[in-house]
Amino acid sequence: MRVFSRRRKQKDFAAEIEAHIAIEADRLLREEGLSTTEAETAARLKFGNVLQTEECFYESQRVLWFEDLRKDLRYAIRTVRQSPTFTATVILTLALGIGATSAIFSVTDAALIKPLPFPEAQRLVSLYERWQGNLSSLSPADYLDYRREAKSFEDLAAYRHYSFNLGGENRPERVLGAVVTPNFFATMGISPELGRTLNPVQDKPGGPRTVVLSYSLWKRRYAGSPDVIGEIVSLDGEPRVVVGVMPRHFTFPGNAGLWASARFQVPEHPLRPLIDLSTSRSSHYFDIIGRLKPSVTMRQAQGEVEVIARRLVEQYKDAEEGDGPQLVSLRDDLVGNTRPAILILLAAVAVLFFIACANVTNIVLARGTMRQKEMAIRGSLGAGRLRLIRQLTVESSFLSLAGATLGLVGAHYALRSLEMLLPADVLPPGGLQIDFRLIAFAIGVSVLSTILFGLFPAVQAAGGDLNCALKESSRSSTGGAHVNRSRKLLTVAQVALAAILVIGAGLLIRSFDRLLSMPQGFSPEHILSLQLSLPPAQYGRPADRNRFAAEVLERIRSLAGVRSAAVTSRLPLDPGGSRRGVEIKGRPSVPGEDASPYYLAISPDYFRTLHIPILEGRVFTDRDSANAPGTVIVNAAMARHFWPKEGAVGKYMKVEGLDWSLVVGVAADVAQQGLDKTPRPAMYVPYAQDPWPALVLVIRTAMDPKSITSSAIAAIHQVDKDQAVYNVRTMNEVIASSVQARRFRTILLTLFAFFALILATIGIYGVMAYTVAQRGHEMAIRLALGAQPNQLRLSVIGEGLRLAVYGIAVGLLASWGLTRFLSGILYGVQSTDALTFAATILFFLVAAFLASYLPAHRAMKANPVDIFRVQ
Amino acid sequence: MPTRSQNERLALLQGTLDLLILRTLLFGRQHGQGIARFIQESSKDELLVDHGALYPALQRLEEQGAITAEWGISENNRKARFYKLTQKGRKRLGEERSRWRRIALAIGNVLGPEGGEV
Repeated sequence: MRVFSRRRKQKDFAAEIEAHIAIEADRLLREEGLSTTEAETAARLKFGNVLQTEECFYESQRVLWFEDLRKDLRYAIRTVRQSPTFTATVILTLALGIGATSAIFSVTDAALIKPLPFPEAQRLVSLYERWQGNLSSLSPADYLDYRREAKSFEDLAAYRHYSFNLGGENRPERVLGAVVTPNFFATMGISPELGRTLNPVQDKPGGPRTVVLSYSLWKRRYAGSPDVIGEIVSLDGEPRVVVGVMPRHFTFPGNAGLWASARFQVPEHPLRPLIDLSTSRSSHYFDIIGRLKPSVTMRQAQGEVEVIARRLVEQYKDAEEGDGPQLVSLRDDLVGNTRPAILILLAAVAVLFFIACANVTNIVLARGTMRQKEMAIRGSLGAGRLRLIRQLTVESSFLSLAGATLGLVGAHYALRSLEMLLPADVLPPGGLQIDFRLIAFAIGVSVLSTILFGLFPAVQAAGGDLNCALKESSRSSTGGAHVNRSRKLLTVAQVALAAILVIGAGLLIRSFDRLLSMPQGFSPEHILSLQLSLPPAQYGRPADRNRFAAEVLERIRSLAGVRSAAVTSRLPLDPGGSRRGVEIKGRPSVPGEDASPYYLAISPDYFRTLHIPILEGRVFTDRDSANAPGTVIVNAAMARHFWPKEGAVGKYMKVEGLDWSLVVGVAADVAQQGLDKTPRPAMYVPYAQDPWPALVLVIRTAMDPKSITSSAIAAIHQVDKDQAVYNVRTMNEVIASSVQARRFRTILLTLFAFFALILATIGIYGVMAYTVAQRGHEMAIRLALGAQPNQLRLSVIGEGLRLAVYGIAVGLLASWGLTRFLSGILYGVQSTDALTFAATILFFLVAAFLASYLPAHRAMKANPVDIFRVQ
Repeated sequence: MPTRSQNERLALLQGTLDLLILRTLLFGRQHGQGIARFIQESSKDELLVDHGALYPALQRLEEQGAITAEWGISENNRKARFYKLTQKGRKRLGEERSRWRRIALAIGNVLGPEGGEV
């Protein structure tokens, strides 16, 4: 089998023989005086059978191993067809393992492995400020200071997500996009598809207002016409010149459809678009992206911004700097929350895959033992040990490739379902794809599984003493004690791993359950929410926005089935939101304390509509109008923070940008930032006194809230026919989407745990069925001698349970150590939650009981005479 | 010179062909026909070299590294594949030769003195 040695070509050999004959003919010609033809014929005759010689050469040369491989394959297919149950079990188990592995791999790949589609994306960083354990936006003045002073960056650019009313002569529509500083595109390193990007020279603050379109918006709305460059479009009622179109793949941030140049040195505040906040150190409303210089590391840059931050704190004593700046790589920033969860899922996949392989190994081992006789016969007929191992490996490769194929097909469909479960922001633009690398991955995995489950039994089966095997199997004794032991060990390992998965899933389910039962602070039933955004061009003056809101609310209230309606600047459970600096009368500011509570503008009926209890004082009324003295309602957290003893109602405070206001009430805390977040200090001001252009309409209905959608939109259009309405959701949908990521991983891990439990049960069943089959002879004798069937049955079940108990014990111990890695994604349960652990034990005991009861029961029903006959 | 018919010649004992090939190549490089011819002539026409065995044997020796081969031109301008002894082949020849001598001696001893046949 010299497969790799240099081989001679058949042609070369034929030439040598021809040469031989020619030389011989020469000799005959010379020495014996024959004619040329006679000599030639004689030489040929003398040589003997040329063809036979050549054939002989061919035999010695030809690729024997390939011939053998064909034989092996044919043999493998025959074996596989002879035992369809075995084949189906192995292929399905593997398909499950490989399919799950591949599907999760492609999610991980999309979210973690695929590089961001920006040049040298590893140098892109986001700059935030640490604030109460969270990351928060920087203030405009801070941003400008960092940009001026930091030497680690090529540039720092600011951008703000914004949704625009894109108008023009036809079809007003709402387009998500960003207001960006002119250096944004240079920082991202992206060139335009058409026209130009924004740049600091042509798009100076205060210059002509310009806008860059995304590829998809350009294709969709402007039919991909190059004439769009230079066209004037209406953005929030304001004319803007289109200067460029970006390439198809560029939609950062989020799924941006257009990018508008900032009015000032920093993006304008969406609510006060005409006010230059460049010097504000207390407004936090835009994000910062930076590109590190090539030689600068994250750590160096982080060091530098911290030095700058300390200098800023000294320079501006009253400045509110949070807990210092924080650089986050853009990749981490974009996929950050899902990273630990995805790594945990990957680990779960690896475990599930191992369990599947262990199962297959067990099945193959059992078969290997049964085939020992066959192997022994083939061995004694002269098959080499290597040859036997190879044949078994060919068989297992065949099975694992079949499993891989089926698994990939399954993965393809699984990805479609995963897409529905995944939070949209994790998904790549084209959806999840099975790409070339995934196929390579699956093949790699199947090769690995071949080695894992194929070679072991092969060595086992081929390695034993042939004589011994012949004798053993001819008597059908309990044979191969060490094979049995390794099978049982595998089963214990399977149960242990499955137990870890089940515990992990149990903890996530418990967290999810806890989370959903957390006080939301409001009642989500029968609530419909609609989002609106008032463009500055038509609603430049606060009075216009006030009038709009009042008219819309009045019309909505008059609709049939509406109990009450209100507007707010931000829905509960909608993370983010505006924070404003406050000053409390008679209370000096404490250095380092957070004096920027969340800020919401609401109409009087807000608390009544959402059923948010008022703990003290009163709600707003229509008398808290634009011209009335300023009033504010604080939440319980804020009241505790600023007025721990004296009570908040009746005190005066000043909100940045507003006059001194009187605290008129204390509202109960609401899960504003998310169900898993402790409510932070927040304050409400009357919408009339600070009418935000971005507002959410909340409507409490008497019936299904969805049913009034169209009449509510119609009512809005009666007030302003051009007003785009978007994000129409019931409050329950808002809650669902706020826990979507968590639900996704809970469901996934539960699925894994479920499959693991099933596979482990099959594993126990397999071992017990095999044991029973092996002990059939012994049991028949014992039954014949008068043993009680129940007693025998119990002994079988006891053995199965013992395997399970060992596995559970190992699994629980391992979980005890491992689940703390889960603690980051758990909520409200300990990682050693007793209920979860107890439930897991119960699950596995029941599963093990069922898995060993069936074979035991079957064994007892068999007729001893049959068993003897088979032997 | 009439050639003897093939039946009268001795067939080579298994394993001796290799030895004879190696011995032939000790004089220098030679092609297949030359090797066959040399063996036949130096055995005084007693030994028959079966060509169906010669070439596979050459092939085998080449793969074992005892000889090397290259295409060249024969004395009467024929293209032929020439074989040459390697260092390894030389060593092997020494071993095979002494082994063969011992076998021949041993068999001779068993058979007894010449003329002692029944």
